[in-house]
Amino acid sequence: MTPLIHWRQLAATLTLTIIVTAPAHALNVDDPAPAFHTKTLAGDSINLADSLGKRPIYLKFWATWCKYCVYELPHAQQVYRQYGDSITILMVNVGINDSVENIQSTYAKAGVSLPTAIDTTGDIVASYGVVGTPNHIVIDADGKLLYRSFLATDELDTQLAALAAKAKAVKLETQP
Amino acid sequence: MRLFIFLLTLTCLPSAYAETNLKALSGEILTLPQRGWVHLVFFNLWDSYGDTGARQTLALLPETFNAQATTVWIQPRINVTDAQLRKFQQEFPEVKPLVVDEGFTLMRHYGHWQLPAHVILHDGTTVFSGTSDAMQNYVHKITENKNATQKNSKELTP
Repeated sequence: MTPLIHWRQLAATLTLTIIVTAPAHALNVDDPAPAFHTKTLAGDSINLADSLGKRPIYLKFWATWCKYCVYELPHAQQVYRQYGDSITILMVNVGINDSVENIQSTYAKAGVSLPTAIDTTGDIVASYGVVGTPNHIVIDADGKLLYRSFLATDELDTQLAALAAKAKAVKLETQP
Repeated sequence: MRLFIFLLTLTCLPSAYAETNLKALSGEILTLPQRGWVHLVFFNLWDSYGDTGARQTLALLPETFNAQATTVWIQPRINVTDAQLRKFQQEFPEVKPLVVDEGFTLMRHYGHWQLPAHVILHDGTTVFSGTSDAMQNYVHKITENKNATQKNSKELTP
């Protein structure tokens, strides 16, 4: 073995050590929500930092191959229609074995139109500790994780309605 | 500078070798060999029950490669429970050792976000990283090279 190879192996080993031993990221209620920057399929730039700590956020992690995710699309559309002006809403496709074409075709079949980003590197999915789809994440106006659920539950709807009402009230108070 | 690197190495080396160990679903601690071939197979359980998943791809590889490579199956932790993985292993006992990639750490380390994906290491160095088709081409190439030029050697070389 040449010294060069030896050092290369060592470097690879050390790198893997650092990464493999990093704890799996679990994001729990009251944790500060991570910021990220992405683009929607429509080409709009989304910098979550612009909304974090300023207004509520609803992220839905999903995939087109996830039957329940597709089943829930009308619910997402209804949430967007009802609260889209008070809450930042983003559908985050997890990207694993999925594509823009799949998303467009699925949306067309379901008759929905939603702000959507696709995570092509896993950065967003990993930072939010997503282990399954669908995964609903609600972030309050202080930028902290308020609620997460695998399904579109009644509690999710209650939380979103309360956040939207609060955001509207704050908006009215601050209007001249 | 050299002294600093040497001291850093001394500090990190014991933990480095201990922590490159991966924990298999069975609870077994896997030590990736630093010599020879290692084949990391990133796969999706739900695609592998059928006839076109990573299991079938590996079955098509030359026996000379499969016999020399330590194969580690890696399932990212998404939409799968340990119980489902154990049931899968009961059905397909050849899928072992199996590591659950918590937090997508290994997938992201090797720059993969589509499944299945393959990483091949030789003597601890990554010599291949890519899709199933590209992996098959690579393995066939090194196997053919060996057949053509190294008939007296049993070992494959990158």
